[in-house]
Amino acid sequence: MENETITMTDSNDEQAKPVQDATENSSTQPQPTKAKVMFEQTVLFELEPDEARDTEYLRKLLEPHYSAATDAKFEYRQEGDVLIATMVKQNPPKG
Amino acid sequence: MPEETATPKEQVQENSVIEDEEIENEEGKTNAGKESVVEAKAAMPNTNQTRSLERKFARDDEPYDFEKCTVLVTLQLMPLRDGQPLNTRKVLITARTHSYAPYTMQISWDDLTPRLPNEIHSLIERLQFELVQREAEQRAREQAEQQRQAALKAESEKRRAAKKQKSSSEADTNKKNTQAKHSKKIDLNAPPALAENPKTLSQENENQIVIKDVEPEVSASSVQMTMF
Repeated sequence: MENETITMTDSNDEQAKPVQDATENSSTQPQPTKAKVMFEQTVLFELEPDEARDTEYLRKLLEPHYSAATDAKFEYRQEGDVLIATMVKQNPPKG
Repeated sequence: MPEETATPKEQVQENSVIEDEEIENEEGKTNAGKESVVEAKAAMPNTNQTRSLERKFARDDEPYDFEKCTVLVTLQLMPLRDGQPLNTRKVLITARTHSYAPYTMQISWDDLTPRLPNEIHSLIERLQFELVQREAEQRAREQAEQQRQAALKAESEKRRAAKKQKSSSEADTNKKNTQAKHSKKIDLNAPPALAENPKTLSQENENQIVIKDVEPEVSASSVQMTMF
């Protein structure tokens, strides 16, 4: 179950998903003790796991540096005790 | 003065060395000397070489010379999250050039604030002072916007009602006209309507008269014609 990717979106219903998944996986994976925020294979910040799970917090963190953070999605995976949040840019609307 | 210009360069070089050391410390080595720094974070030195080519800023075209390119250093005071104690507010310090990922460090606001220069303190004080005023302005803007939206809504409803009323009255008129057309009776036994052009009428009458005068001959010829 390592490297499992969980995509979080802004909707409230789906925001609860990673928490739920993390609970489900708690028996197989250790609780993350730290988190990394990545974008384009670069580690930008290291945060507390609860900070990294808060997508609004991540947006506020990243927006001054990456304007794409406003609409970006965040994909989550866990490697050992490190929660990795990767910012995924949304494609611009076609047309 | 050459010495003065050389000093900052040396400092920069020293700083970059320190920064590199801090990056290495992140990788697992210890750094006991930095008490106030909660976490020293920076992008990986090798991955930091790749910059996003999709982004195009004016600063991307700048030379790769520290003196000639824009160096962006930011202090980002992160908001306190729910339940987070006041004295644990985080500050992110970042530095970057071009479109490369920023080097980042974290520190608590309480640790950083005594070391900040007066210029930054004065800017932050201005922000704090103006926040109340800005909040009031924002509320006023929101209220004005709400009123504008309400007025627009009322106006559109009024127009819609007027349009509906107009269309219904037009429909009534059309209905009446249609009913009138349908209810008009045509008397098949009634004589045909008189011609409107009096000249034609008189000409027709004259012709008729002429025809009457020559009628016997015409009839004779016609008889002859029929005879042949």
